[in-house]
Amino acid sequence: MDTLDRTGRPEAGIDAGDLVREDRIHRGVYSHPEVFDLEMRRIFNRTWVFVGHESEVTNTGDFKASYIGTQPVILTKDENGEIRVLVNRCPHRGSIVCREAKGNSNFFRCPYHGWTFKNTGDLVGVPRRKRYPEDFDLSELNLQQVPRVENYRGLVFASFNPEIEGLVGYLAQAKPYVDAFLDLSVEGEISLSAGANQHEYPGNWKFQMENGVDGYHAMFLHDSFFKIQARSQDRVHARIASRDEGKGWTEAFSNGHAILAREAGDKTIDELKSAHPEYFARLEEKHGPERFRELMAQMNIFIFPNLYLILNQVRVIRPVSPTKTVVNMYPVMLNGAPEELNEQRLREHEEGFSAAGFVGPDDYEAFACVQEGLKAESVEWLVLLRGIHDEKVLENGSRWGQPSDETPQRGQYREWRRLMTMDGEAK
Amino acid sequence: MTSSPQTQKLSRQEAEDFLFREAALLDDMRLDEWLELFTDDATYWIPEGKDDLDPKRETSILYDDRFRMEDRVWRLVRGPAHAQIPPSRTRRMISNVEVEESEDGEVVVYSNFAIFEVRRNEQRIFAGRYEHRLRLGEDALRIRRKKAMLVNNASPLYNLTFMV
Repeated sequence: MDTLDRTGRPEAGIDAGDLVREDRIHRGVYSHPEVFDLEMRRIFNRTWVFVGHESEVTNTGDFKASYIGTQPVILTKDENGEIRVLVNRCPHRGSIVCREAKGNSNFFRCPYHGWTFKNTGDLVGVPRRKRYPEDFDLSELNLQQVPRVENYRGLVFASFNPEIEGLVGYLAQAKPYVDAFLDLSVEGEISLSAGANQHEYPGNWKFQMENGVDGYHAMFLHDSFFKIQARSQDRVHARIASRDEGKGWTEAFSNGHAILAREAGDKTIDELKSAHPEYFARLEEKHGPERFRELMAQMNIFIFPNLYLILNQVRVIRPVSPTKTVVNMYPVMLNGAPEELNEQRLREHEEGFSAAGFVGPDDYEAFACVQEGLKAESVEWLVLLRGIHDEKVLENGSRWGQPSDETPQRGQYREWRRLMTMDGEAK
Repeated sequence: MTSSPQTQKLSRQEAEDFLFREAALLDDMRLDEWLELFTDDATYWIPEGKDDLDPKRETSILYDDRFRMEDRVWRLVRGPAHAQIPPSRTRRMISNVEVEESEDGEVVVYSNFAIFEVRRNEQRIFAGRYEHRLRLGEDALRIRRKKAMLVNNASPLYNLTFMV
């Protein structure tokens, strides 16, 4: 590839390496249009990106509109049961070919000139075709396939980078935690059948990236939520664990992944066991008491660059512009769990994480305030050094910190900087 | 089917008076009085993604029982709910009111709403349809279920922490 990248524009003149230090982030990282364009090419076009869950396309012909960075794609299940990710862009004159958020169809027809594609991407219909040359080969103008698609236990990722390592390797040290998140289902399978709470906020996508593994902000920003938890302890609330500084840990894994985790308290476990005794007995029997305890922990797992497995939800970050972001929060239904438990999980999720919730909207208020504050050009840097003085490097290469340390964010920006300063094709 | 005015438990005029009073309590932030309009077994519901769904299996913007409504009011009044600092100012229009008898003896009132909301110098408009299931109590009319169907409930939303 020459100096023109996939978007057909010259490489940006910014050196992203100057914008991130080990303990400082430059304000330009959150607002500069050239940085954003470069992120789409050097991060979202190179890594594995979460595009959807198998349960969203269960039947042949099911489809779901999704995104890789700002690029529109379609997740489809074709007639052979294969899950594909197609670029949602007509090869003819550029329109999207799928205008619905989800549905079932074996064909996509471009609204502009009526070119028709099978859900495998194959071009099968061109109206009034005879005005094209006789040797016009339809097969050259199929919908573009995203070259790499992999599914880990139902989580579907895609990558525009044909050279990228396999998904399991990419998950690195985060994989055991992804497994633990999914193993809360006694069948080892989750479903996103309950739909999503959709959000947008006037701020950069990385505020959400940083925030889900930020164990420092909750005790202040979400104080009102903890008070509500405390006011009515006998009732169902979003299961955000103790604010106690001593409980839990943070970890920065390879490839920018991270976790904020807090062990489940005896009270939480007892409550759930007494409310749903049969289910949790089955789960404990399946995994043994030690592993069972781990499964019950609060895990905020971040898979770089756009996925959170967090509390009761799958959270997907979609950058729209330097200062606009869409976030979809899917409450996780546990396959094999009694309906009452999944219903309880829905109510817990909504309490915190709808647009009217008691937790998420306060985060978005903070993000909007940061975006506004960063207009202050005279103050250039943000500080990310909390806990840096005794961060531990573990044998498996990950870095370990206290629950309110900025260890995860430093890890995210190490990967950000690595990708943003790497020319050419990434591995 | 709308029953004839003679047999109806609630006239349109009475339904409007009730809805206008509720609207005024919300816009004036008299939320403790607003809570008193509801029965103890009340549900306050805003579906997400579509106007109708199974709340046992699908997510909503909110699906509050009376306790969570009280938590919601507490958060707005005491909190602090950072998403409501400074608080939204709202004023809402209620129109197209229709009254139906339901089979279980409750009265169902449909209406359209438009809420003008201003916060931090930005004005936004939210519109939709209300469905109020009302029960005639011993002393007064009470809301057994309030459902708000936003026309933009299938779009990404920002800060719906004021009262709809």
